[in-house]
This record gives sequence, C-alpha cells and structure tokens, in this order.
Amino acid sequence: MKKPSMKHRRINKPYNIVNLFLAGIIMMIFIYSGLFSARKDNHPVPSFYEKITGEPSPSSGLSRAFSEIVRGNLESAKSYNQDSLLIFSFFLIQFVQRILVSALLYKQILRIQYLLIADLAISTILFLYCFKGQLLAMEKLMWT
Amino acid sequence: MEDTKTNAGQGLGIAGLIMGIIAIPLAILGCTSVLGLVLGVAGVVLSAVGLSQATKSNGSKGLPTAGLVVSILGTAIALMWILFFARIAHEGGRFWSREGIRIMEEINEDFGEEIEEAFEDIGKELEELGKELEDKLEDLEWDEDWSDFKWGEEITDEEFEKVMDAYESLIQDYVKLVEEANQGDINALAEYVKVSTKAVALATKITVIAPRLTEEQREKFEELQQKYEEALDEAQEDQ
Repeated sequence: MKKPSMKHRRINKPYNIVNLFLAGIIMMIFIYSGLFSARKDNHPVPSFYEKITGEPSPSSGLSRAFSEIVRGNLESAKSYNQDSLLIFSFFLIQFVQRILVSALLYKQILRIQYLLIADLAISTILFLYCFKGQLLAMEKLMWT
Repeated sequence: MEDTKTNAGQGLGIAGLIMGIIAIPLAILGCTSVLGLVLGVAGVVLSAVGLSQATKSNGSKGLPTAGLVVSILGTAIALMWILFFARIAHEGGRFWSREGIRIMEEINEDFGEEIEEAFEDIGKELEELGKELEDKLEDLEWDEDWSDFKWGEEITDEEFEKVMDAYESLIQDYVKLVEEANQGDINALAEYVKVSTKAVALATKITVIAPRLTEEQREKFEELQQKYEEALDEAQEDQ
C-alpha cells in the first residue's frame, strides 16, 4: 500500500481541516453580505426574535449592516446596528487568522500545541471583545 | 504491546466541532439563535457518535470531545434565547410593561438628578414666562384708552373712527402673532392671550354700536371688514 507523503499528512490534520472549513464559512458570510443589499432589504434569513416577539433584538439589522460594510458604507452600517463594525471585524480577523494558522501549520514554524493555545486565546479574547455588546444585552434580558 | 490509535470517530468529531464553533456566534446573536440551536444539536449528535466510535475502536477522543463541549455550549446559549422568546411571547404586554418600569427605574437611577434639574429649569422658565405674560396683560390695560368714549344714541364719526382704529390695531396684532407663531417664537403665547382679550373687548363694543351705525358708517365698516379678512386669510395661508 502506498504510504501518504508528508505534505498530504499535514494537510489532512484535523486542525487544518477545521481552519479551512471556518475560513470557507466566513467567506460565505462575506459573499452573502455582498449578494444581498440593505437598500433592497432582500436578505432571506429572517429574524426569529422579531418574528416571535414582535420587538427588535440587539442583533437586529446586522445582515443589512454587513451588506453596507462590504460596500464600504460604514456610517450607514452603524445606523443599522451599533455593534456591526466590531462583529464584522471579528469575522474579518478570524478569516485572516484561519489562513495564517493554516500557513503556519503547513510550514511547521511553531509547535502545534503552542499554535493551538495561542489561536484559542486570541480567538476567545477577540470574541468576547467584539461580541461584548451582544453578550451584555443577552445577560440583561435574561435576568429581567 | 503498543496501543495503536485509530482514526475512528475523527471525521464526525471534526464535523461536530465545526458545527459547534458556528453555533456559538449564531446562538448569541438573538435573531439567528434558532439556526444556532439547529447547528448546535447537529454538532452534539455528530460529536457524540464520533466519541462513541472512537471509544469502541480505540480512536483519539480529543476532537469528538472538543466538538461535544463546543456544541453543547452553542445549544445551551441558543436554548436560553429561545426560552426567553417563549417567555415574552407568553407574557406579551406584561413583560414589556415590567421592562418599561425597569428602564424608567434605570433612567431615574442614572439621570435622576439631571432630569430633576432640567424640570427645575423648565419650572423657572415657565415662571418667567408667566411674569412676562402678566406684564403684557398689564400693558394691555394701558394700550387702549377708552375712558373718554361716550356711549350715546348715535355714533359720532369720531367714536366710529376710534372703534375702527382699534379694529385695525387688532388685525395688525393678529397678523404679527401669526408671523411669530410661524417662526416658532414662544412669545407668541403671551401675544395670543393679549390679542384674544383685545378681540373679545372689541367684539363687545362692535356688537353694541352695530345697530346704531349710520348707513355710511356701516358701509365703511363692511369695507374695512372685507379688507382685514383678506389680510387675515393671507397670513393664515402662509402658515
């Protein structure tokens, strides 16, 4: 039986697969934002919160805001959702980080344990920082 | 003998981990929490099956376990949101009434002093406005001197001219008031009271003198009335 090459084995590492999948999903978010427009208001995913409660949620307007951000209309994006720039920057940084981590894994510059810990720490801190508005709003509403 | 690890459950573990990672932000964003729940549950199922396969076939349990933890977290957050929706849907208006009271309490706590100060300022301004209004009403008493006006059987031309001058002055005041009100001048409020009082006083006088006017005076009065009505219509059209 043919033994897989070193390169083949590296690419098949679970960490790399997860990375590439996440980068792909983030890319799909950007494409989704580019395909649908805030002005036409044609986003297909509805707000379940608004549908059930009839009230706007802390994340209301995020899809429209993302569509405005990919078109460079940052002020307009903020008017749709105050936290949209932070949340979008989380996805953007994550996209770059996934590609960077994959490159580092491929080049084997860092030991995988260190890379994993650094990746987890950066992602968690970034997540908490960028989603703080949503988390605080959620916490407030939950204990009302 | 060396314990060789197999790849059993790894694929499902990776799938579960990816679903769990996506489920967390979706669950936190209230609008997409239902999608977060679906992905979270799918992640839990895939990771659990992967973990079971890894256990049975001596595979590495790291990935399925990580997938399971992340998916459970995503599912739990989404469930919290959905339970919250259900609570609002169930309680309806009562929830938002309580929420309104809570927000008012928070506003009172955070800005209570500022609001109190603002109300005090408004009170002072209203007091000043009241004083100004009183002054204007006092001025009004001296505006028109009717002391030498004598009511008799017939209206002399002098008396008639006096009433007509007062009428003209009232119309001019009214046109000025409309202009001030158009410009959003708060003094228009004080002017309005002044003009209204003048109008009532003049209307009483006109009612008394009207039957005693000569034909000539009556025609002149009607002519003036027509002219002033047109001026009033014009001022009101500009509003």
